[in-house]
Amino acid sequence: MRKIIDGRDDESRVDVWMKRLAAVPLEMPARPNPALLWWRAQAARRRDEEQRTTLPIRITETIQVGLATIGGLSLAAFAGSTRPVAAMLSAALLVGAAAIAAWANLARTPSNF
Amino acid sequence: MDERAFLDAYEQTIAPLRAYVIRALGGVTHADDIVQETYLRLLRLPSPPRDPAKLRPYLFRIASNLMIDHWRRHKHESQAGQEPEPVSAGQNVALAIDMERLFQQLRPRDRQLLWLAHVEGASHREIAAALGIAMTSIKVLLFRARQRLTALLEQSGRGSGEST
Repeated sequence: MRKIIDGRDDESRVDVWMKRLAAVPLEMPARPNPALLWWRAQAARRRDEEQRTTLPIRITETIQVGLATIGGLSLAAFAGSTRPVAAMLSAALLVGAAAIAAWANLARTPSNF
Repeated sequence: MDERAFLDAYEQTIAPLRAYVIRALGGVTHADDIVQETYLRLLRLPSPPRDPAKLRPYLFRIASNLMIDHWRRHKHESQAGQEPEPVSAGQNVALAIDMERLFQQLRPRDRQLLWLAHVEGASHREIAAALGIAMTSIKVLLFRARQRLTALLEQSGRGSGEST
């Protein structure tokens, strides 16, 4: 019983003190500009939307780059013994094209705002 | 949510939200970053709540989560015993700073709980939603937070309820 009374006493005392603290004016810098926040949010939403719509393309391109690399290396491994120059040249072209595609894919990915 | 609705919602919520974040964080340095991020996250939702009665708890919930993330990231700084920056203005600044320091001695979660319960007048359900705590725990956590604040008030000689 005593604990309950003490608890209620604490509650009202804390309530008064907290309201007094809340009433103290705050020294604050200028508040954030809502128009700027709106604009930033719209830009972020557009970026989210763009990333969502281009995700399948980016996944497909990554798969293509992977397949081209595997194909190039396989060609070099299997045809290297019979026609080494042609095989190495084809493999180098394939791997080079894959590297360029991967680099272009990375360069196009939008950075964080 | 269109721009007009957002600007209206902003006008209605910015002052209490900012006061909550500043008091709970104990300074303005990171508070405005958290307030801005709160609104940005709200606006990036596919369908943000339009009803002001739902919007306000939602904003407090986002801000509370961002503050918890902030404390996790800056744990080592607070352990180094940083002094809270005074943010009070007005006539009786010394007393206000004294109250701020006392409030900052509480645990971050206690500050959030006490502010939401006593200043925002949030229900246990709303506090539970804002802080991500089970509703059944709120009563006990609030009771303990009040006890800790009362103990601090008594230590500082304000136990009888006077403040001047």
